[in-house]
Amino acid sequence: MSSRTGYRIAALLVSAATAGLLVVTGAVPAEAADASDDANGGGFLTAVTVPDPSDGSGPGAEVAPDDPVMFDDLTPDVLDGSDDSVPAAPGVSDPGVSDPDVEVEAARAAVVHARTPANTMCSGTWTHPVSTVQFQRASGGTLAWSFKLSNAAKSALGPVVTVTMPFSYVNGKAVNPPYHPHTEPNWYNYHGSLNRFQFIGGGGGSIQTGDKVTFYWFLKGSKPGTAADRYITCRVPRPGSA
Amino acid sequence: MSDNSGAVRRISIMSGRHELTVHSLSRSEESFTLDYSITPPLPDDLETASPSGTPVFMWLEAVDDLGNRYDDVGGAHGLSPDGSRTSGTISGRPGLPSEAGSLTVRLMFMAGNDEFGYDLMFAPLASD
Repeated sequence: MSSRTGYRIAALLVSAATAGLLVVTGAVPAEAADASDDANGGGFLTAVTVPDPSDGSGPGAEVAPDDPVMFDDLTPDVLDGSDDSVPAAPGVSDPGVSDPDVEVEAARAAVVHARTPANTMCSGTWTHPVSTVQFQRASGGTLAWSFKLSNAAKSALGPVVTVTMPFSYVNGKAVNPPYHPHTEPNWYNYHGSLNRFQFIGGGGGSIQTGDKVTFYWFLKGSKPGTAADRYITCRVPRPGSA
Repeated sequence: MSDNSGAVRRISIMSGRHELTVHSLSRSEESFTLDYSITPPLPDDLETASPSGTPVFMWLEAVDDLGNRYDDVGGAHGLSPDGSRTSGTISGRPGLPSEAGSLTVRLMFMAGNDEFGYDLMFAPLASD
């Protein structure tokens, strides 16, 4: 990560925390996970209580959990703006959304994709304190994944969890994320796949062996004030690779 | 969101080891979703399953009678509260155009080296 990008990420995280929006916490803080393994990371995020005189709710209004950032509303049009406060991976249009939560997540996703060499194939089991992700590429080319919450995540997030994928990337460019939000009991297997994709801003194709991909999941818990994120950057393996 | 549940579809899957029941097809502007159950439950949904055990991967491919193709946008499944079945939903995008009269969904399952595909036709499609 360049020092400038690192500074911008740090500034974003600090500004979000200062605004009382997200605080990284939990057994494996996101930044620590970033430092230890760029390709396989994530962390637990909690909202804090801050005064907000503008919304009439007065001091003590909770910000993040009940002020939903509905990532399924992030259409390509929304993401196609320009906001200099958010760093972008090479070839990625800066997400022009104003919500600080989204800016932070966009920044994390973009930087993770840009800085990670992706020298590990998208196959097998990827463990992490937030979730275990497993990949397998079908003979026809589809890269399938499963996503299961850890016991720590189940405890932290509560009995029902909404899993979203606000951002994903292929070879340095943002693509229309291949996962729609699903809200289910925390023991469910949240699964998805990637084959055909559309770049945000136009164009697209199908994944090819060796492509660099980043998946960025955002989890919102039913327990008030809880959330988590998870990301993986890897290379598409040969068809038929487990 | 409208519901085009029509008749319940029930088929044997994965070499006869499980039975898939599709309960409904629901639609929104951006996507469509199948609500289904599988009996007996998928092995990776059982309480005894290891989180790192081999999962049954699942996705969909779909095409309508106008030739439009639809992509998988994932889903979620898990053990039902009574433990008798896997319950789940799986979605595709984009949303179905009002002109479409039918939709053929291929549900794909991959378990180890085995891949299985099953075509399900939904017709007629009620407009939104």
